Amino acid sequence: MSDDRSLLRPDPPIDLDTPKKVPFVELHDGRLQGIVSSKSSHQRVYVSYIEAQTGDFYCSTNNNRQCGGLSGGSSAQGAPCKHLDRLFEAATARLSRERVLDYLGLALDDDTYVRTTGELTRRLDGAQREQENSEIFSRFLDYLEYLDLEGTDEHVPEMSWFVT
Amino acid sequence: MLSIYKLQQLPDGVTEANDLVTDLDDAFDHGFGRIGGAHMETLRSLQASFTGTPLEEPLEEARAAVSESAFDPGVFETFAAARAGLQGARYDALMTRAKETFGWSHRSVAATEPEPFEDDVASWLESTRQWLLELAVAGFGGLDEEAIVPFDATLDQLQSTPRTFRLASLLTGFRNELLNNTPTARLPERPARRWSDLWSRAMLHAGGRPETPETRTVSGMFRPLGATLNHHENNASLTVFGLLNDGDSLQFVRTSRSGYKVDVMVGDDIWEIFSKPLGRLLDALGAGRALEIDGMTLTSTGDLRWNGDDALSVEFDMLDAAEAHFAPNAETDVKMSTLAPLDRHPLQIGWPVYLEDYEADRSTDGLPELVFDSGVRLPVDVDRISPYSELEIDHVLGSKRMFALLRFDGGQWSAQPLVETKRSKLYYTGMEADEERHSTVESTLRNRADKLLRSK
Repeated sequence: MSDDRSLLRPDPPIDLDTPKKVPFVELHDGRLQGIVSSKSSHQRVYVSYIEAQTGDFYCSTNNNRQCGGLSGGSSAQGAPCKHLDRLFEAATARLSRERVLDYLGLALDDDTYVRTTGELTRRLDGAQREQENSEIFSRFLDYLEYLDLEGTDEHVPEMSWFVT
Repeated sequence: MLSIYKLQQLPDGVTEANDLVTDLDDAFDHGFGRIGGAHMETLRSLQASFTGTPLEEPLEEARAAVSESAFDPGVFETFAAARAGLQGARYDALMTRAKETFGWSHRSVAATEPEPFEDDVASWLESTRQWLLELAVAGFGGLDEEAIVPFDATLDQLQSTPRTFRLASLLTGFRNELLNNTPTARLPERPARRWSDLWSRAMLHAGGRPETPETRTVSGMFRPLGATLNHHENNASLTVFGLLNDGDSLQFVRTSRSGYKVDVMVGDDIWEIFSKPLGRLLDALGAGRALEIDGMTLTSTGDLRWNGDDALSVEFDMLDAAEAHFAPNAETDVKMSTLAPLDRHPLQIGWPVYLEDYEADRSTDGLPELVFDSGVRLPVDVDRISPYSELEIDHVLGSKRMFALLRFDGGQWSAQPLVETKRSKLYYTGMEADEERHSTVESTLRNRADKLLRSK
């Protein structure tokens, strides 16, 4: 981009279907974390995370039970479930793939191209590690507070900088 | 379009001022904490360009403070004010050129003093200034997550009241953008101009409430002539432009609504933010109809505060109305307002023009442009067309007439189409605003949160 431009070129719109599948995803406090909807039950959502650097991960249901998909791995370390796959997918769709991999602590060159969450956590030598999901959940509730904040009828020239 | 060639040469001083802003942006990118000889030289040039103005002495003091690494928010407020002064001067010169080109008169607004904020807000503003100071000392090229996240607590407070909406929406977008690009040292190219713009504006805002313009109460007929959408992850803003006839005079005005959102609220979901407060205004915009309004507040900056006291009126042709009043050298008595003094910045130029006698095509670099009969080319401002607008680049290509806002960025003029016609169909942002839209995102999110809450 030219160095005297105030505006960025807008990104193409994100996939509108993702909020239903992954209502919340963020990179925060050294983790990729978020909320993932269950495909099989409308009554269930999962709270999932992958920790940066260690590659440790976990996924549990809304009532804090370990996700059944986690034990499916053959190694002693366990393997990520499909909810973690979807979390990772949603993160790369909403942020950039580079940003997500970089945050998790992976170098970015073609040799280390990571396609699945399993490959990702193996590269980081991560293992399944149980964690209370309340912290991630309260981050989600904080995020929802945006929907209750009051707007304004004042003209906001500051928003002229944003079309992204 | 006889006169559009006048845009080709930039007014005197615009490029020189731009070069100085670019040098200053480089200092912000580099960081004042480890400032070197070249950047100190920039600060000297900056001071020289304000010789004989009230900023001369503060700039000298600020430069001395920087050379001793004696940083306090006041030092950086001075740089923010100087930078805004340069951008304001560029704005003035460019606006004069736009008016010469299209043949218009306008009424100007007197400057008013910023008012102090209430006490509770003052401490949030102090934390904001402190954070902005830390960014400037570190430099935009030296930011990591730890430099940004600690500001979130202050930002939460700024978001909690509409009194600080303008500053909060700016800082929220800035914070997100910085965070999404950390560590910034690793970015191949940093948007130093843009980030310095956002930084300076935030610094000035945090110094006091933006001036409140004078207001009057108006009633009459409002005809919407187009709309623009702005948004980042957590805020969205709709501005509807139009003609207000209050019985005495005809004035070009705008009315806006802005709100908060979550990042996944995009596309149609964005309209949810505007539909309730704006109601029939969106119906009128979608259907191309006028509205009778009754007792709304109009500011001297031309902002109409929509209060819902309105009734749908006659249908009209948006492009014909635009042509009658905004074709170059049109015989019209439409009054124009000017921006509040603090808002003057080249990015805020948005001069309404009706354009025809052009071919809309892709230029050699693939971007759409308007080629006029005289051979003059005017790029289409693709950076301002929201991906969620019904108006798309494809509608611009092959269009024959349009109502646009004349814009300026990156050293060149461009046209942001508001309304255009292709195969005799009108395309514009808000053309489907009168149709019922079904938001799913908000209910989905609340539903997922309920499940989590119930199980606790």
